[in-house]
Amino acid sequence: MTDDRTKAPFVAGDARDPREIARRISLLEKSLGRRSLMGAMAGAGLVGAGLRTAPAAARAARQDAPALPDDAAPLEEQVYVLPADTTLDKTPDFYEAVYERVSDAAFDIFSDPLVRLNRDFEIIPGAALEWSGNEEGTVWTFQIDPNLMWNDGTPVTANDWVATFRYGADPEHAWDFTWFFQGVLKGWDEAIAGEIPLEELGVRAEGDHTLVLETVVPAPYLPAMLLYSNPLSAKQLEEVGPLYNSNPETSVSAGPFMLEEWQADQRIVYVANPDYTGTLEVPVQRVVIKLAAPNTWFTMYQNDEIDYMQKPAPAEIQIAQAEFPEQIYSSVGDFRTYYLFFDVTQAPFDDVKVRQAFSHAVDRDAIKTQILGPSGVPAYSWLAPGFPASNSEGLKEIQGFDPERAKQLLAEAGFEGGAGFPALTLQVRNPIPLEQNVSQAVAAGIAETLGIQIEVQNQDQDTFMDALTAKPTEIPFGFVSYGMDFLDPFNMLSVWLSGGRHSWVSEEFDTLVRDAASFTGDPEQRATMFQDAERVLVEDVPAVFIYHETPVQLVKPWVRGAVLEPDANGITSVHWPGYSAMSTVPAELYIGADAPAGRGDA
Amino acid sequence: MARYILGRLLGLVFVLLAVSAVTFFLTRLVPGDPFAAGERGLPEATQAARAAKYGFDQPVWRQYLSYLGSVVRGDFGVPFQAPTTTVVELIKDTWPVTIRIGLLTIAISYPLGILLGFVAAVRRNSFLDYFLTFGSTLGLVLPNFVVAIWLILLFAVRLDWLPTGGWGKPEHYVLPVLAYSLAPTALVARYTRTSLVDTLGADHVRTARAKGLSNTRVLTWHVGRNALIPFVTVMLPEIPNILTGSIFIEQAFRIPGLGRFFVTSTFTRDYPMILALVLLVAVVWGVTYLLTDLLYTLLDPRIRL
Amino acid sequence: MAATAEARRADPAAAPTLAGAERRAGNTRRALRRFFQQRLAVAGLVVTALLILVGLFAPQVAPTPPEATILMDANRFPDRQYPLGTDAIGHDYLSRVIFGLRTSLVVGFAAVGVACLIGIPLGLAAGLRGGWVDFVTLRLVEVMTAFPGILFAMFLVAIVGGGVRNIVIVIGATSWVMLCRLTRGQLLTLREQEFVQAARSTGVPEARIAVAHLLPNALPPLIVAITLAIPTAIFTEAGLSFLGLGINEPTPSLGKMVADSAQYIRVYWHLGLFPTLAIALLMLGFTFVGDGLRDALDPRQN
Repeated sequence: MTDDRTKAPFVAGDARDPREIARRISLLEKSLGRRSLMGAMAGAGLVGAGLRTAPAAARAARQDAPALPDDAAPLEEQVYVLPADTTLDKTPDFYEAVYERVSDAAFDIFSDPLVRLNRDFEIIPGAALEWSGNEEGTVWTFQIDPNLMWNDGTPVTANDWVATFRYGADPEHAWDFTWFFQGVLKGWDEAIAGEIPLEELGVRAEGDHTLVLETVVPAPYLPAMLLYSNPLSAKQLEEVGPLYNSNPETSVSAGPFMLEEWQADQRIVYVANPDYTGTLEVPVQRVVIKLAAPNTWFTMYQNDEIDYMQKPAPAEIQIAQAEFPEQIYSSVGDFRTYYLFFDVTQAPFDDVKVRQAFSHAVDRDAIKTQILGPSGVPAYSWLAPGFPASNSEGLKEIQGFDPERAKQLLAEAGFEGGAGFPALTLQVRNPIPLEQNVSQAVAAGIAETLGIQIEVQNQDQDTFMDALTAKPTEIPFGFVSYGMDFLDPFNMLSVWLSGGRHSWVSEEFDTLVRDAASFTGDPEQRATMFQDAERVLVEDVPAVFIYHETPVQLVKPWVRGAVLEPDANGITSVHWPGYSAMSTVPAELYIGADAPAGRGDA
Repeated sequence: MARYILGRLLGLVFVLLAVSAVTFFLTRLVPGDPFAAGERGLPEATQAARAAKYGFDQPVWRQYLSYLGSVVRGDFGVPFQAPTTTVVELIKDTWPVTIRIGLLTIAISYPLGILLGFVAAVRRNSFLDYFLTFGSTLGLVLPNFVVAIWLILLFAVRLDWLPTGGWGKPEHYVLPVLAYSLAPTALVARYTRTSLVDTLGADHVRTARAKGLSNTRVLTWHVGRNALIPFVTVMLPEIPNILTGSIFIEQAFRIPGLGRFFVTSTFTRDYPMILALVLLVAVVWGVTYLLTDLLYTLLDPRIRL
Repeated sequence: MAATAEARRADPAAAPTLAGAERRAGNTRRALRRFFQQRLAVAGLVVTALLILVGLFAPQVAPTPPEATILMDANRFPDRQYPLGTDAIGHDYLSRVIFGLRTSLVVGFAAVGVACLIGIPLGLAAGLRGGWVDFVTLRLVEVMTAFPGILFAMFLVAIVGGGVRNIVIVIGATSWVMLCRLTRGQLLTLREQEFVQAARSTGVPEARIAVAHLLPNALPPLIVAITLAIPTAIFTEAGLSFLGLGINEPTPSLGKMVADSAQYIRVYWHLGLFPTLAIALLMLGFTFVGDGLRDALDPRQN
């Protein structure tokens, strides 16, 4: 192997050139920021006004085979093979365990959520054909598609959602995502603490096909949140228990796929649900998920044992660039931002000058060219380009790279040339190779610029998160990331609310974020309010923003369909959240006739 | 003899108790929650609810006693990482896979190692001996995660003869067993050589030779038998290691075996699984040692129990 | 008597030491001579000594300090400027290998030191005092053996955290069992031998017998075991590193470098090759020295 492999060149204008991606992302920011805000703001528009309605779609059970394009493999060979991490196969259901469910490959697919995302990141109808909010934005009514059926013959009714939300709030379940509806759904906070019976939760069915959700604050973002609303079957929940979907014998589906095989730590197989009556027309007939440690995925991919993978290691990307560059795609992922954070309540990081010094000591451009490549873009603020209300350009200078300024600020804080500065340990959360390289380079850069000592220590996920979220926090200096849960600035910015993930407290920020979140007026004005909040965050430097992730995907040439055509913003990739009923991806992907046989075998 | 074995088994019960107690208290000392705290941590209410759900709000000694109570009834609990099964079921499903690979590894590496060691001992200090000694030491020093990667790159990616991993077909055995065999082969070869060299120089062998016994007879009977003792000492204890698997190999080749759980259970703080694994290993070791000591009495009449 | 079986099990290669105290003086010289007659052992000694020297004088030998990086020079293959290339964040890899060797040696020696500090006194006490001391020690040994080492080590690292000092303690605390067994087994075998019986019958106090007669005779197999335990400790650190539980950056260690290189070796072959080579040399060196010592110290070779 020779040197030139290290710098695999991009052809000018190549869709996968990092600069090209950056350009497209900035385009995305412009259009998406506006449109998606409108999407998220649908509620605001809806207050007293119109309704969102599903396009007329196939309603009858899919008796006849879907029409496949000419270059598609025959129906029985429409097999899509994906890898998933072995540690994530406890359950397929979001409302059972968010962080331990199958979530890498194909997931949340045994029922349709109320709303889903299309390829342009717009919220579109899923199981809910239309929805509306009341004047204040505190009572939300969803009309459920009356045609939906569980494949055990039971109709899907509003009661399934009621049962699902109650299960999520049940203290005996102690769900890992209870924070999500805290301060949003009426009665939620009291229910998870066991203070009120689950029946008093602000989620109720009015008849079979009308679901009503009440919120404690005006919540124009509620429809966007309800991306996460794949219902469980109330009947199975009652009769079999919450884990009914991990066993093909008790699994029940109202979604495009149903469970055929569940072999813990080995493989999971879904087959098309012949009784599906929802709106996704899915060409793939069989999804095989191979459970494997992520560091084995690349050789599997090279050996044609899987069709798709995400986040190859840096060296693996280089092999791909040399051997099959046309199979590399940069996605925007979940608009994830990686950052250094400080415990601002403790010395030396209680001094904003110290934090500012750190923020000016990170050469993001060098990290971009030498480490990130197509996997990320430099970050100087919290909201990634393209995310609603993102203001990357406007905030760029505040934490910009300026080693002289950094040294001067540290001197002003009383640590001239790093003298007297305590030795630091940077805690890093369970890093994949890319994150490991970035965290080490960042630490080395700061240490060298400021003349201080920084050790880098990796922690496993659970230890790290427990220490981080402990009150008071046990991590004075760390490297971590956050990716969006739903497409509203409130979601990303709420991470920094007082008493949340970090020890930073700013009343100004809290007020700005909460006011903006509940604001039901002009979307542009709402975005400006969020941008004011973000500026407070960036200027007070509780965090040094390092990069926005643009996860690399490898996709075999026989994976085809609209998913791999540029979206309205010119971005080409399998969009977040991926092969899931939360997204239109399953309807937009088919397997070409050139796919080698036997990929779905063990 | 029966009394001796009974005594040893009683000792084993003591060890199991001690090991389970130490493990139990260690797991509670280790920072980190067995269940994901999520990206933002759990609300206090949920944290309390979870502690109550799994009994973590009880004093540790009471948790331990109730655990012991269940174990005596044969109930090892439900693994946190696989809530749809039980610890017993999970081990029942995965251990045979590891044992099958392990037995194949032993079947290949031990005879091969003995052969190589024998050759090296007989041709002592020859070029061949040096070559084998060097090779076997190298076999011991290459980390098996490195070996696994090389094997996959060569046989699966470059030559495309075999799948990169997986489970269920005969070809899935080839690479893991190969990767796995390297170290035991090297170890067996080294010890065979050493103990043969020792015995070859021993008085009674010289006597046997002096008596004019044929070389083969001397080698197989006098030398072989005496060399077996150190061999038993070193190689038998390797067997529990081989039979309980390796995270490195199982992860690299995607084998649904038991070995991974030693690491994944620790990472995920899967208390029930950790305890079961520790007890399992303790039993396997206890039995192996008992067998080793019994074998001594057969091999060397001077050793009494 | 289970004790004899125990003693046997403790160390296969350590032959029953027949040498009497009065024969010891000339033994050392003979042993040295025998050691230097073995070509592999001498080669091992030379390699080991060289590596130790490089480790000792790492700051003088290495071109840069181990934590120095030039990010813009990351991912370079070996060339004139960087004889062993650079890694993913721009460390000079030659310096990393040299300092990694130093760390690995420190871990190896210190961890085995810790293991000796725990294992040998326990073994001595058990072997000399017998009775309940022996009983308790044996049970402790059994419990430790039954504990899966990697699990125990992971627990300890999770509790006490990473870093060189902690890794040394963790590896030491999980590897003393073998030394304890060996010491105890040696004492049990020696105790029954004629020269000790003789000393005892002439009224020499038990403690003096232990120091003057037992320990020196028990030493040779211990030295061998210690020599062979050092590479094992270095290896254990590599395994922990592979699981992400090793020594913290920016301190390099050979084990960590080998482990980290796993994801690169298909492109940046140099990242895997050089530390693997260094570890292999180190292990070969120690192993050959250990083997040589065993052969040299075996009195039957007289």
